[in-house]
Amino acid sequence: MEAAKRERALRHASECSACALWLNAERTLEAGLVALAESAEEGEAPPHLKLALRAAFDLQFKAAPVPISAPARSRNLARWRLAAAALVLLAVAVALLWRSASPILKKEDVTNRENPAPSSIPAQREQSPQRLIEPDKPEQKIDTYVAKKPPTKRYTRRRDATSDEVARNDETVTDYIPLTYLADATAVESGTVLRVELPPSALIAVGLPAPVERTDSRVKADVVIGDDGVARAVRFVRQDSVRR
Amino acid sequence: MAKTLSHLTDEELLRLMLAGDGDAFEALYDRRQGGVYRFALRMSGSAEIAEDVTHDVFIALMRDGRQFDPARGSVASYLFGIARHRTLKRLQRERSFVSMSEDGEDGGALDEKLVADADPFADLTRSETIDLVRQAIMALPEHYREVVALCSLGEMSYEQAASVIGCPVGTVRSRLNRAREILVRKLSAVKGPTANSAPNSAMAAR
Repeated sequence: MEAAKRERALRHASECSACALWLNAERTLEAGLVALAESAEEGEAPPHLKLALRAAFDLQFKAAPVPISAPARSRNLARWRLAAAALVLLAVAVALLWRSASPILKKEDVTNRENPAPSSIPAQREQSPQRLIEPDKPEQKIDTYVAKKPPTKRYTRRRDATSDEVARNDETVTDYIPLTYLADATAVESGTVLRVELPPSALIAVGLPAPVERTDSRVKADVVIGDDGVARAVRFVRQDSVRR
Repeated sequence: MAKTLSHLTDEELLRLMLAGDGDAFEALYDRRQGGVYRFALRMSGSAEIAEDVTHDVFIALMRDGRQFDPARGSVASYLFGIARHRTLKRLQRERSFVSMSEDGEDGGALDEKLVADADPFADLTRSETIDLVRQAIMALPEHYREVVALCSLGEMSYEQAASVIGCPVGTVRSRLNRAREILVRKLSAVKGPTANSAPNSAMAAR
């Protein structure tokens, strides 16, 4: 405040009791604020807090150095992203293959009608007229099955893997394994389940033992693709009919 | 050991701390714990809450310190921001302190003390003055109390306080003016309508 204004205000305060009181209160407030700020009792956190925090610091930064190692974290993250990208690419490839294979399948279908399937085929499979089963050619059987049965299935909420309707009677499935490169991997509201075939290394990538008998064989898997197109979870499928 | 780090800035200490340097953590703690503790104490009026908040602030710094962005403010602002958030959350949960109305109509014990005579502070000792001011601050609504705690008591600039609260500088300025007005009114409360109305017009004239 300018000196002249200040002088005028002080003169007025000396004449006006209300303003004098207000001014006095202002001064008291200012003095009180300064005193409060300097007050020793408003001091510092107790010393034991420092000890506790130092112990917590040592525990976090020395016992578990991995969480603060950015390169290690980013490497893991990159691995997961790579695996997820591979899964999505495979899913797209299978979908494209299925589309391009449709005419051939029609041919196979006609051939199959001319040579009906043997009576040893389970009744459940006979109910599906499109399905082709040739017991003496297991490899072809698998391919045909993938192609003929559109594998996509819409669902509104992630279900318990054991009760999932996608699993068939002749299949053994693992639980859904979340692709944990996403923080909210399990929080998918809706999405699509895609049946894909993956190399056995995909099993290793999620920590499952790879099949030792045939490393060149493909592994069937159901991949949950969220509405954003990102793979959220995967489960592996073993067809008992093939195993037999 | 921590003393040798005292010449480093908060940002440098934080960087060292996040690389696992315990001495840097201690140095940063020593430098900032007092302000954080006092802010929480002035906001809550409870030493227990202040201690908890200080603890939480530095635990959060250990855990989420990498999220600190120097472009958005200083380390001190970052710490006070966490402290503010924790304190308000704690106050919301506990609601052990109820704000008095801004008009001072339900002033309660504080106003009863203050309306005793025309100059109620004449005989007050320093500690009594501190108590009265503290009570008056505690009676402020939270959004006024925090600007008083940060700017008037914590000696932060308006810009720093705005960064902590996450509002424009003008908002801090106006809240502080309003808070001081409420505090002065509480401290100057006297019997009769004249005393209350005249200062209002004086304030309006400024």
